[in-house]
Amino acid sequence: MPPRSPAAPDILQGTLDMLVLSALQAGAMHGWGISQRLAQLSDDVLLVNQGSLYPALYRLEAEGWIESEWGTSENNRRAKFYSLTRAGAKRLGEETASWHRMAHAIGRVLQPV
Amino acid sequence: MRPLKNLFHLLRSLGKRQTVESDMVEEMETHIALEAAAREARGVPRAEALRQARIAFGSLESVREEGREARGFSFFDALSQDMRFGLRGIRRSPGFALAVVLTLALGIGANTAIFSVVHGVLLKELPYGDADRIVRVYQVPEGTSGVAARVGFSVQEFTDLRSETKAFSALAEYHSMRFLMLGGKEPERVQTGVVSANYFDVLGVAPLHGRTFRTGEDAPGSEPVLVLSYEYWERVHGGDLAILGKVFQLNDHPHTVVGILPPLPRYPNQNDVFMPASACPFRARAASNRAGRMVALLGRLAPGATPASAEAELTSATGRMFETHRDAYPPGRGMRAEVVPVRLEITGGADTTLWLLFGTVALILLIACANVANLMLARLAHRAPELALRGTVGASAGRIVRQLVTEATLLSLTGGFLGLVLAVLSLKALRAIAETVTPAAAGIGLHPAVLAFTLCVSVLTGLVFGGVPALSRRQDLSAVLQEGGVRATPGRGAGRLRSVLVASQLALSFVLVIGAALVLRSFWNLTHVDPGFRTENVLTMTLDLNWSKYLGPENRADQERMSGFYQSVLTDVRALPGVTSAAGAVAVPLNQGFRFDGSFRFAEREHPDDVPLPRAAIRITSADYFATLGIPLLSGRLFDDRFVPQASTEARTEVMVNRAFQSKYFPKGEVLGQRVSFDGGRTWSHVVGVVGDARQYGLAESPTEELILPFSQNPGVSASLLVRTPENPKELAARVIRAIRGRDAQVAVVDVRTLEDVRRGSVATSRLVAWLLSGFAGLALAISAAGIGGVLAFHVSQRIHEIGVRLALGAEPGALLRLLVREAMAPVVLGLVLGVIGALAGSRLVSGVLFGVSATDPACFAGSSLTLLVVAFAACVLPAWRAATTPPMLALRSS
Repeated sequence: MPPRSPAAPDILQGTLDMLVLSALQAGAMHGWGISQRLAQLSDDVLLVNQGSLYPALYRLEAEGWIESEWGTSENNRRAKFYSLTRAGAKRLGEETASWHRMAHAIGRVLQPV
Repeated sequence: MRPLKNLFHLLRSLGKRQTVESDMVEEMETHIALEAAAREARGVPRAEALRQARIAFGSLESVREEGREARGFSFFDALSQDMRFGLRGIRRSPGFALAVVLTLALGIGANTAIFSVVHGVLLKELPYGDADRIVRVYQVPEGTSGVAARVGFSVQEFTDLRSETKAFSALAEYHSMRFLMLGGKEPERVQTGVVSANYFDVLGVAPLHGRTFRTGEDAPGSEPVLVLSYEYWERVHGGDLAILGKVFQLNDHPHTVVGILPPLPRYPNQNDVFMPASACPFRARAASNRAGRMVALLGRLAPGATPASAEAELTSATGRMFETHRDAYPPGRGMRAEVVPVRLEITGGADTTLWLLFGTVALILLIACANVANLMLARLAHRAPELALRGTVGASAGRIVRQLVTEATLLSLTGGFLGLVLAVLSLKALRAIAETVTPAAAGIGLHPAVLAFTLCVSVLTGLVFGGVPALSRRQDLSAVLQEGGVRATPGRGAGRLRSVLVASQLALSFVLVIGAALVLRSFWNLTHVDPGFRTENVLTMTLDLNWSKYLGPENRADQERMSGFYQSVLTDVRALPGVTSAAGAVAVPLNQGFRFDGSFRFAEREHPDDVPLPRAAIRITSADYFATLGIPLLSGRLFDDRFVPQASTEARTEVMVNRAFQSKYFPKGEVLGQRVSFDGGRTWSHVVGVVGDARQYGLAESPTEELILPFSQNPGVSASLLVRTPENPKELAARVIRAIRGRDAQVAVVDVRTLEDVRRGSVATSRLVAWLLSGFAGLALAISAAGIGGVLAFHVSQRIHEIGVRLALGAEPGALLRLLVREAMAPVVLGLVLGVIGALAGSRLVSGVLFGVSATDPACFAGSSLTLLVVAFAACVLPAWRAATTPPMLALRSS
């Protein structure tokens, strides 16, 4: 039986939210599509459990950053397609900026010139 | 912003919960199907691909649970699920549920009941306007203090103070009298508050119907009007509004009913009706006497005035009056004023008792909580695998705690509801008890505040007894499963906590048990004390004359005519078939309210001015009183029981004394033939006989020295009749009343009771207190026993593996039993020792209410300790015996 909870969810949660928003920049996508894109973008580092994506999706939807619509998937099943809202796009911008600021700062600390 | 949005989502999702739930499932199934298809495309066989896809997705249940939480509607969702689980859990162990509910019902019931009293008497607003400004005014002779020294004011003093003082925005007078209301089927005695017209303005009371008194209605010659109390209106007139405007004959005057009051505290007395001061003939007669202090004063403090400032102003005003009218007062010192807020008057006698009681029941509830928590712990030990399983399939730790708390709250709410029922059932008894300490007892009831209190207590109780064990539960759920449920001996810390709980519970139980034992013993003594007279086969009743008919010159009572009336009634009653003897007296025995002490002097002894005169209780009876009650004549003879006009000073009047009087004043000499005077030597009475001691003023009161005066010489407008008969006294009542009415139709006959009833009634409060305390003690004992047994059962269930090992290795069951019992009894003994110390420390508090038993009575202490030990022992022997006799293999396997 696999471990129940994903590793260090608190640290990764914010990051995961940001990655999901970022993945949706390309257009509406269903859950599996997002998980594929995230795996592809992060070289399979993120998302130990594909399932842990869904709570993040519901949370983002509840925040109003993404919205969902039922559609049909590649294999002709009913699937829910998520897309970025205007507030979500704004949020992503803020998150990305602050991420870059932090990454820059951490980089400076780790590699002093 | 965010909470609002969450709420919006929550409400929206609540509306379509089912769809959301099935959408979630469908969405995830699609995900897994897509993943499986992708893997199949990479060449993985179909079945394996699906398996891998499921693994990659992770626990569906856990994801869904997290998903629900992320959506924000999980609280209510979880609640309903928890309730379902809870109900299922309760159904599965009905014994446990019953024990918990009953324990809590008793605990919460006791709290609700006592809180309803605390609320009704202490917390609720008095039904007066701006009650904190209302004060009662007394005066006390300089150099004395205490409640007993307080006296009222004369009508003239009131009139002076009313115009002279600035401390009150209004000052009202009050006294209470019995009047006869005529015109109905039978003459009816009504207790009447006689007040100045502004009385209800001082209290800030508006009439419920009609009006109260108008300014000037208390002036001499104004139309006599009447205002009814709420209780009287309900009781006698059934709340009929047609009563307004009706005319009633009170003694000799017609009175018109003008208003009905709202329910009020029985303060200063319980009154049926109120009339303006001018309508009272007694007051009119006393108005000329400046020293006749017959009225009480109630005032509303003026803005800025305080009780202290009012006291200072009144004291100087009464001092001036005393100086100005020296000759109007008997010689003596001046008076000092005392101003007491009415709130203190009404609740002052009750607050310590009530808060103490409230503390006691709160502790009982705490014990009950500790206990139920222990039971809960024990049950959790059994449920550990179930809960661990639930954890591994996706329930978060918080979720499991919540489920346990929900289950506990369901139980505590049920217990609370049952407790409420118990409280309702005990309300009447509680009101009766409260009436003995406060006039505001009528305000006790199940008000919304009380219901809210019960609800809060129930929920809190559930949170406490469900939350504490749930939080202290072992968190490493998977360990429980992996270890296959092998449990180590419980941690020392938790064990010590439980021992402390048991010990403190025992200590408190002991205090309650010893309290109950002492009160029960005291009550037994009270009911078995020899009162000095025979109570069986005696009928008693009280007669109230229409005193307006028995007034002589100067509006003074015509003693000769009253005496004549009573003598003729006695003669008629004695002639009735079935009457052995009949006597008249000012009051029936065991009536504390009628105690009257007087000072006297002996003719043959010196009474220097600086030594206070001796005092004795004055009893007024007819000569056959002693035969009727079976009080023996010890020496001398009965007094002559014929009326002698008071005017003839040289007339020989006779008195009798009791044995206590003789022992106190003439331990060696002869009391017979002594002469005593009650009026400073103006007239003398001869002591002609000595009778046995009797407990006239209450079974708990030792007989005091008594001087007994002939009833014929000292009749009153109210008197009691005592009739001895070999038959059932109650069957005689109608004939006796007919005989009375035959002599005067305008006599109210009240309190028709057998002397046995009087005796039982005189200990009614003691009986109620004894039952109440015994109930509390029994409750504490039962709860404690359940607690000890429960703790041991838990302890044993935790150690069943260890016990199995011990037994398998050859431990003797007997030795094991002793070990387990010894371990369980250690906190019991500690608690008992603490309880004895606590009870000894608190013994001073109860000694005042005990009769014939010391507060440190060794027999009671020994008996209570033994009871507690036996109960505790019995409670822990059963689980210990069951553990010690478990077949070893079964014990080993059961882990």
